[in-house]
Amino acid sequence: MSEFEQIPQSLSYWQDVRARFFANKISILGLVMLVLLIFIGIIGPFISGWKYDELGPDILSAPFQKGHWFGTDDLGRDLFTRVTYGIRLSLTVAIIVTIISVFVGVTLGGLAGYFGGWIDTLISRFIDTWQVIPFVLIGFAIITVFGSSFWVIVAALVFTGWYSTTRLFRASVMQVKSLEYVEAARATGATTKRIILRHIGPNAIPPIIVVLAFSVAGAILSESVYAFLGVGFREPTPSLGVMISGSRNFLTEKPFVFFIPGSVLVLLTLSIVLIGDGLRDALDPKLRGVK
Amino acid sequence: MKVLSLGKRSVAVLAAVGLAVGGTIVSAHAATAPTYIDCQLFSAGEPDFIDPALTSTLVGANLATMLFDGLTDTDASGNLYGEVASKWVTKDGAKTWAFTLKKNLKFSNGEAVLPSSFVTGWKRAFAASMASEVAYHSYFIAGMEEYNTGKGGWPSASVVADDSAMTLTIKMVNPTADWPSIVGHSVFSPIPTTMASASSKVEEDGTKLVGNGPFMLEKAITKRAGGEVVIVPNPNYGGKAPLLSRVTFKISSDVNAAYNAFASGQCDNGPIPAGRYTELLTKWGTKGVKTTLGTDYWGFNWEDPTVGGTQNKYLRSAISKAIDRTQISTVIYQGVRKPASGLLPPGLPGYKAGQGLTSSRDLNGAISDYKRWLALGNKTPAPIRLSYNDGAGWDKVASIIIANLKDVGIPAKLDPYPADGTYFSKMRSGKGQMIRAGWFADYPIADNFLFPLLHTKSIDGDNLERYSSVTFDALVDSARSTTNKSFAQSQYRRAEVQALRKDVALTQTVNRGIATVLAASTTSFPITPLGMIAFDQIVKN
Amino acid sequence: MFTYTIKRLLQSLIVVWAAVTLMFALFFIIPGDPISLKSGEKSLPPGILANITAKYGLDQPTYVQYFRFWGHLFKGDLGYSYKNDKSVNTILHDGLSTSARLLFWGALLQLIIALTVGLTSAIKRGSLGDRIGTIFTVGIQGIPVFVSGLLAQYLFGVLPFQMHWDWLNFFKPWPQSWTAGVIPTDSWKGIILPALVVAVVDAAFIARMLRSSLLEVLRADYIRTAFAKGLSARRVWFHHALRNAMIPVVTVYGTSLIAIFGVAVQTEKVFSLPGMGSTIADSALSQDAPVVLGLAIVVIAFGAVVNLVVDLSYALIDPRIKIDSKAVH
Repeated sequence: MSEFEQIPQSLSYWQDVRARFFANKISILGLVMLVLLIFIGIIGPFISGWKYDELGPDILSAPFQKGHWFGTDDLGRDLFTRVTYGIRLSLTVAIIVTIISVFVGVTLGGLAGYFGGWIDTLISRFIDTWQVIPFVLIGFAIITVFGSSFWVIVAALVFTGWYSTTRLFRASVMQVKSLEYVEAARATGATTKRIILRHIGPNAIPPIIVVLAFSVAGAILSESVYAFLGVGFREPTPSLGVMISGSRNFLTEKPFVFFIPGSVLVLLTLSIVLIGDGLRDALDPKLRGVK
Repeated sequence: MKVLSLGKRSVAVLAAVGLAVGGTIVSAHAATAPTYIDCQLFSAGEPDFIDPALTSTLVGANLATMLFDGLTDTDASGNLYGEVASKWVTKDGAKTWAFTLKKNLKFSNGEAVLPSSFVTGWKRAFAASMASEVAYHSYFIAGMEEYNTGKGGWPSASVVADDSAMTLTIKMVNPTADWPSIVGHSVFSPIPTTMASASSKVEEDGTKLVGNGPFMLEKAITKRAGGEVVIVPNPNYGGKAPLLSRVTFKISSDVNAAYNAFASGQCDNGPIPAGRYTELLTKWGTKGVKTTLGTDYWGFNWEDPTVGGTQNKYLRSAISKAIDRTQISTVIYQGVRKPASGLLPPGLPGYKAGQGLTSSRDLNGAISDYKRWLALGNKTPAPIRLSYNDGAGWDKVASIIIANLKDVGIPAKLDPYPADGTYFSKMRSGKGQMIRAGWFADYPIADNFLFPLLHTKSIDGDNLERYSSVTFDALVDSARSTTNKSFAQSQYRRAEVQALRKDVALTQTVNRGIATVLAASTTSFPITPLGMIAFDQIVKN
Repeated sequence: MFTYTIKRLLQSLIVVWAAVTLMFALFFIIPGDPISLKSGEKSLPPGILANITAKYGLDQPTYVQYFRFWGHLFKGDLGYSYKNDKSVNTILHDGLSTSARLLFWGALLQLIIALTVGLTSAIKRGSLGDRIGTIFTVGIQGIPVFVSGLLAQYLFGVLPFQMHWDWLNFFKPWPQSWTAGVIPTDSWKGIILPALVVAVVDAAFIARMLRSSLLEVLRADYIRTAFAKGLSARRVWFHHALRNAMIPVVTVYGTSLIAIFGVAVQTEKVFSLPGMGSTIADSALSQDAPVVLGLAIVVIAFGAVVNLVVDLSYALIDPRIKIDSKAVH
């Protein structure tokens, strides 16, 4: 085995990454917040005693009371239950959207970046075309035609998110491709498949991990923006975006209806952004030594 | 006027036309008269038209009626009165109507308002090239449908103007006893000769949209969200002059932004965001609240194997009795829309309370009707779809109904449609089971509800239920063709009972109302039952 | 470089054409019946529908409509709104002037905030200011624009009005008259809240970018040399570090400009401003295809120009990409 065929980023690299990540207090804070939110999301519906679409007699009752820990909304539904479902839904949608976007991005970006030539031109111009179309319009068009079901909204979010992962992966593949050890591997006669899987892939992974985190956060926010603009999830779906959008009417007088799902949304995205930040700092050796 | 979209509902109910009395800015026209600033919520940020020939929305029509006076109109108490017309008669059983016009009335440019001004207006409004959405109101006039669809010329024999005698004689297709009410619709407004060839784009230049109403446009219109429409008193107005020196409509597309603008002192009047009626009306007072001639209801698809047809009557009556109208009224509308007891709204001539199965809720009746339906060999159905056009808060109404039906054991689910256009075309073609609908009177007559919503001839049109009953049709037809008012009313009432009680083709929920918040300086704020705010009669200190 | 520029320019034109065609397909063909906007709210007799269809030329085959659309476009005519017959050219003019003013003031505030926060964080690394700056820049990313817009309305509009704190009431009508196109001559307070809301989102992003970029530059040898030579800290910071750190920031800024449309939509909706964003969103919701398309063309062209400029500047900065591209074509 030639020395060039070593996986360039060794185990010690990942050990370093982990050490760096856990040395970052802010990322730990993000991680703890996220784990807590996921925990609430998982057990919440089982302990609240309400269903997310169950209409109770108390309308807009204040939070922190027996029976309704987070109070009730304008239809008398239990906010705690809805928020916990909202965490589940937000994360589910965001993770599915991210997985699909990354899959598309890795495939197309990898193809474009590695092969270059007309494949690259085609894919790059296709990205340019999508990118210049206002994302809300894609959402409007898709949802107007196909309705606002779960998978249609996922599709709309993928359609507006795939190109940034593609663009990023293409750039990082191009960068790695021109590194010396890859050129060297090519010189030793390694097959294309081998080069992609053993050399380029692993080196292009760190940026993907970072993008993953920010893409999840971005998808959560986009979903809430869609709900605000009237093209996302709809009542009675317990999406945080739907809850915030519906509570805007009560912002001035019953602010808790707004602040509870609002702060859960902010904490959720924030925790993921913090983790993403920590990951980026941990994965990027260039910043090693910089506090 | 079908009030179905988010915008329209918002307009009709949340916001309607706010108006407001502004600060103490003094206009050149009347140094002492106050000015108004109205935080107006238009659907999706843009009103359609304020040109009376074209407008199809409540707010647009409200502005049009401030700029144009028609032959007749309805006042805040619901009475029909002559506006340009001083009297009207029919000598042949409502087949021909002769209107006598008041003398010495003028347009804001000084031109006299004559019977021929109506001919000029109607020629423009009903021309095929204008493509007016509301031109079909003219189809009561003999030959006018042919003119509007390009199949015939102007029916000069049907509309005869005699400027020297100041009479306008109109010949109908069928006897139309309600014609004096119908002709009050703003599409029948007169126009000056200068506007005769004006295109559908006339209103962008405010100087060209010239009317005979109490107000006139001050300047070119910026109807878009964030823009303004400014009207000032018409110096040539022949009636009672407005008490305000200027009304500014500030257009908003977001109900919260509009309310916040009001609440932070930008306007004298504003809309109420959904769900906050009680709180805000307590805070600002209830002068801006008015019950209007509209009803919300849910129709049953007459052709659906589960809920339709005579064989499923007991399922429909169980659903109808199960719905808690008081809950919908208090939870969603906080009393601004009140529980309805029939399809015809209170205040409409011919209205009678209690025409539907129940005016609130009859849970025991619902349970026993459902048992009767099951006893006929039916099994618990697949969840019944409650279809609605999304975005207007109907999901919340539907959620309440689903919870209500659960108490009876009837399974149901939400069936939202994202766009109004798709929703209504699907419902019209018989794709729904329970169909959300609502109706707002175009003119205050019973026929304006019963014929378009339930008559066999209205299938594929506004009869979303595709309900067809020989008995019902016969009752409505006999009422339409008589000039005997009390006989007509009794026939309409019998028809309403046939559809609502005997056949249960639809189940009413609430009657409509307008609620708007007013600054304390507004002391009088008249709203007509047709939802029109009489800006010319507003009193501001 | 010249050949590359020409090629990229041609590609951009193709991108614009493809995007506009896609929009045409999405809004004119797929919804089926574009006049459902008119016919949706109430059923209209067939004769009325035929009149409306003929008025907007929708009785023609789709390809005829498509070619006529381009024909009119080259003559500078974007058509008329289905909703109220208003000229799309007028709507575009109004929307563009509002959005441009909003984005101008937003960008100005953004620059001030981003430079202040980014520089403070980098210079006083680890200080209280840095920590607050980090919390601000990270935290703001978790708040959707429509939420911050409403909060601003409440805190600087409704609440001050209720409490009679007039000095704090910044929620005022959008100015109606302007000097030099961008300086309001009445109600200047009206632009503060919307511009601030536009500014903070990307300001946070740019500040973070600036901070990390500066930290990277500071480790570079020439900066160490500059300090070692005894140049004043101020001189090193502003003449050496900042200048070099700005290069990646500026490139990223270009790309984020395309995304600013999404921010504008939400801001304009929340403040009910008659800009491009709110108009496109409202028109798309009501399927007013001519307005959507007419305004989208401008957004699309703007995005294509930004892309072009970013790509060309990449090529200038990093010659490898230029060579690569040459090899490609």
